[in-house]
Amino acid sequence: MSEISQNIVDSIYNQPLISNSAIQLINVIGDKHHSSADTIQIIECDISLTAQILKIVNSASYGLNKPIETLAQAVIFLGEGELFRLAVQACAGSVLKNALPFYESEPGVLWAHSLKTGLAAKYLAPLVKESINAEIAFTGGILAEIGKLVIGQFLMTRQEEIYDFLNKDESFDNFLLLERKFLGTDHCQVGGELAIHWKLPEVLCQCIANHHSPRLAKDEFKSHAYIVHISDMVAMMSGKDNGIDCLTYPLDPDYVKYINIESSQLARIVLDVDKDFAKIKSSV
Amino acid sequence: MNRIVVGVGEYAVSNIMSESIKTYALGSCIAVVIFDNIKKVAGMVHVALPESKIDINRASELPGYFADTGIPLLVDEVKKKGATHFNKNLTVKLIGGAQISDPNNTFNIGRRNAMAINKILWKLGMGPKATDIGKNFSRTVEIDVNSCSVIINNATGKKWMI
Ligand SMILES: [Fe+2]
Repeated sequence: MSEISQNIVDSIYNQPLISNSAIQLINVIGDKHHSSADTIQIIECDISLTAQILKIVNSASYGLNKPIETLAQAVIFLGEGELFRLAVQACAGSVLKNALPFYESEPGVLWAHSLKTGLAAKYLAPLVKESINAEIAFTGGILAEIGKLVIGQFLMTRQEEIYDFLNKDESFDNFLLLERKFLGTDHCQVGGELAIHWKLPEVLCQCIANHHSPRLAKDEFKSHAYIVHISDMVAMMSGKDNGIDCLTYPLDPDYVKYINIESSQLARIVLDVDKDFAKIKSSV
Repeated sequence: MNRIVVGVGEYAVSNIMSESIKTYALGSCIAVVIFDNIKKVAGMVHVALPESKIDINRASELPGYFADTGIPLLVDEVKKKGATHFNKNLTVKLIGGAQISDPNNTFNIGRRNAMAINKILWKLGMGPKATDIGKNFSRTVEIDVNSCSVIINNATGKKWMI
């Protein structure tokens, strides 16, 4: 692909970071040799994050009869994976809940879509043929669309022209081509650059950069890239909580090489994601 | 005009002329619209999946989520609001069911939803008078009780009627 134009590059470097705690946590969870004590230690150093997590765990949707007061108790009750997911959700939410020009048909849909993608990855992880890091797959789902934070403002300036183009060609089925036509780049490439700038682990940079083209990920990261790709599709199927680009991306049918999934399992995942999403909405 | 918004798996019926029923961004879900234009009763259910057997608890909480529980319920509810008791005199329209093209036949939930809905309608002695289903875009749909007109729009705001 062509070089990204200078004003988009500048915008990548000016994007507010997802929190330092999130970056540390993601790097720790990506390391096979870490322990849950490492996870707790990073969260504990972030007082506001700790408070947010304890608030969620003690909300009605978790149905506890005795309050959880410390992260050490929380990790016993939730398990490390769920504690990590709550922390990433809280940190990423503060960036992804901001209004997103151009893509969002209503406020909050970028965050809703990202959360559903992460949740779908959580449910798809056990179906992946080779062993993968489920927390990294979840994070890949949450962060897949971050490139839109950068390019949304640039597309917004040409909204009318773009809408005309879309309405002229009803069979148009690849929004990335549209982004490239109007900007010379797409939200995958820009998201990948942003992930490198945020110093995320390489597996995540690859997942984000290739979430619509998982076959282009490096071989060692393909399973993770396919799971994020498929999770994004699951999140789009629900229609609601998606942007104007909903369903206008092709599916890579080679997912069958990496994920064992039948249509009845897919229906189950659609349902579980909807239920989890409703639970999260009611807990915050 | 008072607008009733139907969420995923929800349904609504109305016989109040100044009301409309609307559901946003259908994705692979299908809005089943059933109305009696003479008695001025309209209903809509936002169906997400074909069969309730995958989660019967969910089906009892949210019967509209599944085609097999949602449609018979909607038919009963429009009749309770004063629509004709003859199924064949009720008008049915189907909207949504966007399709993800998948040669492995796993992601075709939109098409499976449409097939399940048609099968249930057939059992009830009904059939859709108009449909706007399939393709790869998400639809928003609204029915106005007074005119029983069904208006669809896409994400960029383009509108059409079926
Ligand atoms: Fe994307």
